[in-house]
Amino acid sequence: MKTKYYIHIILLILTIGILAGCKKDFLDRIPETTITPNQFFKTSADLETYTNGFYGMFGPSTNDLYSDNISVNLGGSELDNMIRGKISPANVSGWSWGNLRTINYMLNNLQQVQGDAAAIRHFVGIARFYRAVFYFSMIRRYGDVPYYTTVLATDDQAQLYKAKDPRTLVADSVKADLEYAAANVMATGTNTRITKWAALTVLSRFCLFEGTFRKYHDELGLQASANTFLQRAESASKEVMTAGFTIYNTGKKGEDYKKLFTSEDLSGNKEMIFYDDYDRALNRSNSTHYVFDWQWALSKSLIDTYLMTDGTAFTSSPDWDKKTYAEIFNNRDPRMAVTVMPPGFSTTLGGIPNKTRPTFGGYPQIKYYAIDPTSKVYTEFTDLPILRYAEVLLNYAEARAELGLLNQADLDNTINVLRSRAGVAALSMTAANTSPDAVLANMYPQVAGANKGVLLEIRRERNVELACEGFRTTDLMRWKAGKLLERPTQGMYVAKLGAYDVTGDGVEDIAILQAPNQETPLDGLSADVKKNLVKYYLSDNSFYLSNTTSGFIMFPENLSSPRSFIEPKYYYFPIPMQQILLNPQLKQPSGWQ
Amino acid sequence: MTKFLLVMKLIIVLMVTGLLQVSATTSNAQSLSLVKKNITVKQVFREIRKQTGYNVLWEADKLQVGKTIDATFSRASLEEVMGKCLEGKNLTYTVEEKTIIIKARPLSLLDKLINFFQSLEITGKVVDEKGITLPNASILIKGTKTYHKTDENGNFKFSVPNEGAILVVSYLGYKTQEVPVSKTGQFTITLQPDQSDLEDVVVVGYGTQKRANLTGSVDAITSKQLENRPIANLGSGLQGLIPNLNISIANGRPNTAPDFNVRGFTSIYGSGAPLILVDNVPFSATELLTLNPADIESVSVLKDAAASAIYGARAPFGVVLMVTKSAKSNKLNVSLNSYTAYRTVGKLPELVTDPYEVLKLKNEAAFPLYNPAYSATLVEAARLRSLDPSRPDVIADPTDPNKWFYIGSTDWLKEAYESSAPTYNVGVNISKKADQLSYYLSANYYKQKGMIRGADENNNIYNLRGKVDLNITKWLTISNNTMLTSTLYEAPTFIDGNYFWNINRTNVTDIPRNPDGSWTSAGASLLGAVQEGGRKSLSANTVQTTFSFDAALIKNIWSLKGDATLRRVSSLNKSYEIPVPYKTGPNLAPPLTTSTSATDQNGNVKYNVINLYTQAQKQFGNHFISGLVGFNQEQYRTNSFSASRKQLISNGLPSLNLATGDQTVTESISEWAVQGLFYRLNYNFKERYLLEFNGRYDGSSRFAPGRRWVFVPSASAGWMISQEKFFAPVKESLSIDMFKVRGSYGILGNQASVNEYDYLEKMGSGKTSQILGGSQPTYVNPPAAISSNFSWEKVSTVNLGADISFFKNRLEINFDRYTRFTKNMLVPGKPLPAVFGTSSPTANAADLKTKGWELKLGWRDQLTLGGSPLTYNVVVGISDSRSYITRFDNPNKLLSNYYEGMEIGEIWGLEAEGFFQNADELKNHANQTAVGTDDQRYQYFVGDMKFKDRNNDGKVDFGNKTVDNSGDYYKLGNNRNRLPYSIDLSGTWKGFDLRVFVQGVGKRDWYAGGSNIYFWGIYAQPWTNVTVQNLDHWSPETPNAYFPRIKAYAAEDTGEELGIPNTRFLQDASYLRVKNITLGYTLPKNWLKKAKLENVHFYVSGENLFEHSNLKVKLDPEGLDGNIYPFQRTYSFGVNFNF
Repeated sequence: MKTKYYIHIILLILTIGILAGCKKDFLDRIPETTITPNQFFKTSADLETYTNGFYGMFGPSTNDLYSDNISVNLGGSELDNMIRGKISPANVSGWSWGNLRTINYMLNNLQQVQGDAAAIRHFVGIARFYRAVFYFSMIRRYGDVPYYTTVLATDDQAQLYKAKDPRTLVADSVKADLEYAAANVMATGTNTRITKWAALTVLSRFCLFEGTFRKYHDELGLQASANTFLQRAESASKEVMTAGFTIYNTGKKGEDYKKLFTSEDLSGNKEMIFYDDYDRALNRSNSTHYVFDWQWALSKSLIDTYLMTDGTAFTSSPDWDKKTYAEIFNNRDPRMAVTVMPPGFSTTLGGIPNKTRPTFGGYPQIKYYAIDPTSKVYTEFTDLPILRYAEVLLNYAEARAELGLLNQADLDNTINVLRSRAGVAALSMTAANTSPDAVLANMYPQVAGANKGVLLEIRRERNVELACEGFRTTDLMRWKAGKLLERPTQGMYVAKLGAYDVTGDGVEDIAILQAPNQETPLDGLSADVKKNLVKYYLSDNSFYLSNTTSGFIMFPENLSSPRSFIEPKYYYFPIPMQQILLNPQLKQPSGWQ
Repeated sequence: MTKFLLVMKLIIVLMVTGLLQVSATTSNAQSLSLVKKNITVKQVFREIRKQTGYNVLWEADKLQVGKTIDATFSRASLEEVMGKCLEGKNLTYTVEEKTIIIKARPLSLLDKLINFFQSLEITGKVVDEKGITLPNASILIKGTKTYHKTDENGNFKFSVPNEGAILVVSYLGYKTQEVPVSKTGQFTITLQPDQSDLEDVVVVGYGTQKRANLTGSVDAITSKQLENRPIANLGSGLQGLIPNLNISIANGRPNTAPDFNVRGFTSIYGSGAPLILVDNVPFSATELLTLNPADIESVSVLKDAAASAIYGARAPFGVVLMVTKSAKSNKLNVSLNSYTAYRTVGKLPELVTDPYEVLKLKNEAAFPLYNPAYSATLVEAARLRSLDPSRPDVIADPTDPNKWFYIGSTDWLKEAYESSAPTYNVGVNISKKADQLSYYLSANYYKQKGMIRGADENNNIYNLRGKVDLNITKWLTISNNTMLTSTLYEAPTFIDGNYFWNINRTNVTDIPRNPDGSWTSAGASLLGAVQEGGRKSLSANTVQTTFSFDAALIKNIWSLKGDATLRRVSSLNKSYEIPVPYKTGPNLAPPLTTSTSATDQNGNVKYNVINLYTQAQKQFGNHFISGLVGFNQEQYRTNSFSASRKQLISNGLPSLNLATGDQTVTESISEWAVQGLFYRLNYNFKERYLLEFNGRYDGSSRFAPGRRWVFVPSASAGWMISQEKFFAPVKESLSIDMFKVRGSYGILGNQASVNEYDYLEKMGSGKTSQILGGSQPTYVNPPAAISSNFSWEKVSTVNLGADISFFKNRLEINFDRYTRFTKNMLVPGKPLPAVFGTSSPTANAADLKTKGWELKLGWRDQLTLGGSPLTYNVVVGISDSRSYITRFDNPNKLLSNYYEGMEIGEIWGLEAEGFFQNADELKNHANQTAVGTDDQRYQYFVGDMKFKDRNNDGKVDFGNKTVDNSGDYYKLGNNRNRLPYSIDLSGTWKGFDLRVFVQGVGKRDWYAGGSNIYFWGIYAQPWTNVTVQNLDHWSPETPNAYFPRIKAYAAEDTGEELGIPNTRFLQDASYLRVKNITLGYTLPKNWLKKAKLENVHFYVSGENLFEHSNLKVKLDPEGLDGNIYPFQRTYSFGVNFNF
């Protein structure tokens, strides 16, 4: 009986113990490995950590998809689909606002941050830089958009369901953000991070965009304010031009130009204002080898844009429109042969030359395709420029020209620096204005005035220098040159059915024939040559020739599904239908209502 | 085999230890003094041990030790005492090592002859407890194989060998009875009904209850239904056994946890899994994977709110209660079981492997996008190779001669898997029940080899369990239940990459190795990656121990119970990766874009559970009252860190310590805790009117202070109509034994609808992908939007049920019908304009209603076949449920989200009208651009799908994608599993036993989404493989084929062209699967006696043997995704020994 008492007592103690163990805070469990906002945003170091997350929002571009620089793109693109009439509010994507919330979240949580005021302003500048980049892309895509500087709450009816703000407000805000960034982000430091100069470069880019957009898109009725932006583009460019950046030029012409896009280390390159670092040791690779012959090739219209080395237009040279693939590279701007695959190009160092494919038009892109000298095959660890100095020079020249302020000295400080690096004769303002290039004038009919000739040449230079860097589409849009996208694209010239040398060794490599078993055009070739020919048949209907059995390569899709550029509708993308349903205040851009 | 021997040795060691324990006492005296009248033989034996130290061993069926004698021994010899004890028995004994062993006296030939002539003629009848005769009752003469049975009137008449014979009389539904035959004459043998079903106790929350007194919806099975099957884990073993315990298994991977569900769709956000408890301790489905199925004694499923209310917020969607085995008899029981199984890969699609045909089809598919995808020169090369397979399968790429072009015919699905892989299992358990100390010890080893070819994939599970019950005093038992599990899974690292996707995305014209022996790109990314791309090992050790006490404060009236459990899990996952080099041309070895790396991940789980509860019960006349009050507290903490480092110094020594590159270290800790106070009150009147109230007051750390606690009550009632007098005539005429109706209502909370810290704003962090100033620094993300009034989801259930049995319990029917309301579901809030910038925060903003029922029919009977009784048992289970959204903040009824009135699982789509047969049809048909695919530039051609313009507006579209304006989009079907059913058939005859278990789903629609390459084949992408089914496609010659014109990307994206569900390709995904067939044989007992074995049972078993489905492609009906570790068929041979 005694034991029973003991055990009762033990049980009692146990019970009390357990119940006492139920402290009131037993259910308080606080995260230990994730941070909450009230523990963060305390020092400028926190701001640095937070802004590190922004760097994915603005990166390099290595192609011109989709623009008139592309012959054919198997992957398809939104813009291409739109001008073929296949994009509607029901199937369009986009209108995503996550990045803005991320940026505004920091800008709305600065109250607790302690530390050096300049350091804080530096990171605020970076955040505002990215907010400007965000809204720049929104303006480009939609024109008017609602503008927000705060993180929205679920019950913030007024903000969530508001109508779009006018383009002028949004553009001024973008400019203000970039100006703040230019004034507060530090000028020094690695060019893999945002610096004052990156902010000024984007300011220059944005103001040139907005200035020219307002100038040429008279339907907006904003021409009056165009010059304000052009002037800011000019002044911002000018400021960068005093910062010590230089065009990379060691006298190797095309090789120097190529280095900008195929180098594994751009850290010492004085042309880089902002670049993306890829690294073998850190396992960070890009996928630049896909630019070559994967889903697209470049168009005849881009190839035609390149000048001869003497500065004359290819399109004014004799028989320019009858030259075969191997011939067009003779005496051309050296930048062409490092942008478009020239005969003899091999995908490996010292390898067998590639035979171009007429199915893509025949002009594969090689800009950004890098070969590693050690492994002799392609490398994907090359650093990629995001903002480079050449653009600033081009922006400056264009802004000055549009403002009517351009002089020969400006050209010598800008366009001619680029031409000199490439080894192309200098541009003379007088010469250009005296006889404006007819081909370019036909492309850009809106360009007029005293500076018409030189402005057209500046646009040429811009397309040549910045080819495949993602500028072309935006340029066409701001110049109101969307109609260029209607033109059926073309590839290389085929004089007649038969065999061609595309590797530059004098031996025929490919043959373009009507159909299998119609091999008469190959008569006279040795059996050896015939055996190695890669044959393409018009009967496959993957391309056709502009004059049936001769002429430029063209693409059946442009016949079956022709492109028409409806103005001003196609200068903007529609907003997804669901968004209009959710917020009836939101109206589609012009042309999409 | 060595493992088997080891285990055998282990058993022997354990057995010897057990025996030594029994004979531990010693005494020199070999004489005995004892004077006592009416003493049982057993007491005499006890006295022998006390006085002489000699143990007595006997076989219970030979010697009735309860028999009394008058002992008058005074320093009597052992011989004398034993003689007296065995008086009148045909028994003798031997003394070995201080142990007296009693055995049968061997019969001389003469004895046998005499016995033969001494046979007795007996007659009699067998009746039930009311004196009603029982025809066809089985009568076995014990120790022989001679069966007799009663005639139509319940009478029998036959001869028995001698007076010592014992008749074993059995009749289904009645307790088997043994009748000694002492003389000739008339016997009336009265059998008592076997109330086991009614008297059966069922495990319920914090206790047990008589099945008859249940008022909630509870179903249970015993270990019998899990035995003798080569099941990899408990989840797969339970699949289909209990109606509306829905277990789905995602794939055939050895360590994939099955998904548990009770009663259909639960909640649209967060976990809807039932609470699984093993011996009162919660286990997740993943944790359950490592338990030894042979340790499980019973499984109860508490389905309605009333039954699971005692678990409050832990169990909104049912409870699965498992109880492990305990010692059952006071005899030492050693049982050993072992099986070996071979598994083969189940259904896989068949691929077209002829290179010429494949290239032609790919060119056709790619039209007009990549036109041609393969040039005429390549197709010609493939044609020549098809004609003459001895030609090389590699040629130089005509456009880029630096590269190779392949024209092979590799069936990668065959390359990827082994033809068969083995599984081994061996287990032993030892148990004994005694007055003071009972124990159950078990050990099991399970090893499964994986199916991936060349991957050397192994899953090893080691289990040990020890249970000890110590009766300290008459009223107090202290118990310990300790479990130790060790698992080791080894596999190639790449198996967690895109292996199963890549297998079928690797072109059949590709080959694994180049002519120079190097890997091809395809070979390296698939076979190379699993064979040389690095390995991983996941090891985990779990120790769990439960101390519990059971104090009978007032015997049979008031008890206090408590248990405390500690579980500690430590895991170490090690892996390394080595990029596999490959060549795309004779001199073309592309750079490896990843580097070697090693990763170690260490995890620790700390889990503590405390339960303390007290129960009182008393019968007052016809009134029975019982009450239970308790407290539960749980605390869970998981802490893991992971380190990885790039660039191994040597691929042969893949250690973190021997890597030189960039390193990443992360740590993650999370914790939760719950507390609850619960009660149960039972009342019944004559066991006829039953009432039960349950409730719980629960708190969870997953909610903000102030919203943490919730009270959830429930009530249920039952009425045993069969005990009512007025029902007697019905009962009589319909042969009803029992008829009970039940009803219940209860509310439960759901703490699993949210994660640990969801009520807090948390900022994520990571390492930038960009290299900023030479390194990849840390970044911090903004928190997701959090709703300010985040609280409990509540689940209430109304349940009505009936249990009825007929024909002396031969037929049993259980039926339940329920409606479950999931209220205040935490769901992403109402769709907000995208300018909000992140997902709409989850809020308690939606309600769901689920209606369903389940039915279980059981039939068992016995008949005589070939002179021996054949007992058989059929259990058919079927259930169903449908769920509807009853509240959701989606005022526009956007189809992209849930909306009020929506049925869960509904499939919206287009009506197919066949194919465009000619250009006119194509031109004149409504514009289908809006339902085209961007990859094909929204274009349609002759031979493509023609969709019906249901609203005749001249275009086929989705309207504005709302319920009220959905264009031509409409509801086609429903993808939920409907009418899951099972048929479990088992029978025994002579020594044989057979079980056939069929399981299936009665109704289900399924539509292969975009990029389901296993269904669509080449229609997904031109790079995917052409399945044999794809050959049945449209062409001008075959206008009525199954598939449309070969068109790549038509099925690439969900929501575009073929990626939009349509009536033509909507699949009937119902199926019937022969889940298991087992044929076993038990060796006759008399053979075993010589080998000192109690029971030996052999069996052959097949799992997932065969299935029937109406799918138009060769896919496993449970693995429709295709992109999974394939399901397997398992063939096994096993043996159980009992000593």
